[in-house]
Amino acid sequence: MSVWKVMPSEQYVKDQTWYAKKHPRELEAVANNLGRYHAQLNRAKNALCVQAGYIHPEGKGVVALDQKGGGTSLQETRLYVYADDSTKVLHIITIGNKNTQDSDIKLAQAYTESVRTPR
Amino acid sequence: MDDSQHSKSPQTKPTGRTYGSVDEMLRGEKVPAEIVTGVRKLNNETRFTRMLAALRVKAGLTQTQMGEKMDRTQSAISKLESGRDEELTLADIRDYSKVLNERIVLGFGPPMNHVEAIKTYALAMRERMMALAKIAQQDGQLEKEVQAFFGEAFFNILTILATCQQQMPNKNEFEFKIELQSSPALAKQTPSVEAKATLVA
Repeated sequence: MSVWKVMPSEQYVKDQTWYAKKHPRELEAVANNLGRYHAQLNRAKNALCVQAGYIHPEGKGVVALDQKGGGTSLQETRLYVYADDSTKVLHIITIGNKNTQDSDIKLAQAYTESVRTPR
Repeated sequence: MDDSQHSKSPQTKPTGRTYGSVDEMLRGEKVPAEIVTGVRKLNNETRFTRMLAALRVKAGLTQTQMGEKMDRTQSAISKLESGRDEELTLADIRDYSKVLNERIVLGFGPPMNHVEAIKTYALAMRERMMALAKIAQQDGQLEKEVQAFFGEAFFNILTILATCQQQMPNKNEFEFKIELQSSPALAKQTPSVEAKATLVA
């Protein structure tokens, strides 16, 4: 069993502050699913093995975690992460909603390209 | 102020700060305490469903494969694993245990304090070792193996005690002796046992 480290990005830290003020329940919900995802990574052979209803692959290794399980009447929210199997670092990239989905995915993919360990 | 006023950069980079858990990250990145409490509350309400999902992943099974083995749909497994503990049934837990060949133990109530825990485990160890001693009476080979195991256990327990003693403020002043002597009744069955141990810091 590997122990994965969690590393936030600079954008995520800003997003987190914003969501804590404006959408605290959504932040709680995605953070709870992030905890689930982290626990599953710690048990899995590799990141690809971790699949569940709240996990959405977005290409180039980016995975979006949604707010499901956090309660009712929550805004659709996505937390974008990248699990780097070679370094066992779970990168927390950004949080967004439906309106920012396209730009969030582009940002997350560009981030992933920049931190990905060459094979 | 709506969400459009929240600025997003076209690119970003890692902070370089790493954490061992999500809880640690939230605290380290100065998330308000009420949010951390909210996440912990959600976490507590989903402790068992998370454990079941983690066990499935450990076994290398997808939700679809798990569903097939449990005669349920993938979406039923997804719902169960992302749901709250109160929605779980004993049958769900039993089925996961059976399919994954995992021993699943559920505990409720306040956690034991350190002393209670040590006493509980010590009593459990004694019970198990007494059972082994009984098994050892069956034949000579078993007796040798159990005796060897007892020796190993004895050494390990002393090592644990010595290691813990090293953490104490008075670590240099500690010395203890163990003297075990079987009772006259037991002496008929087993040779007398005497052991002495001294911890020197």
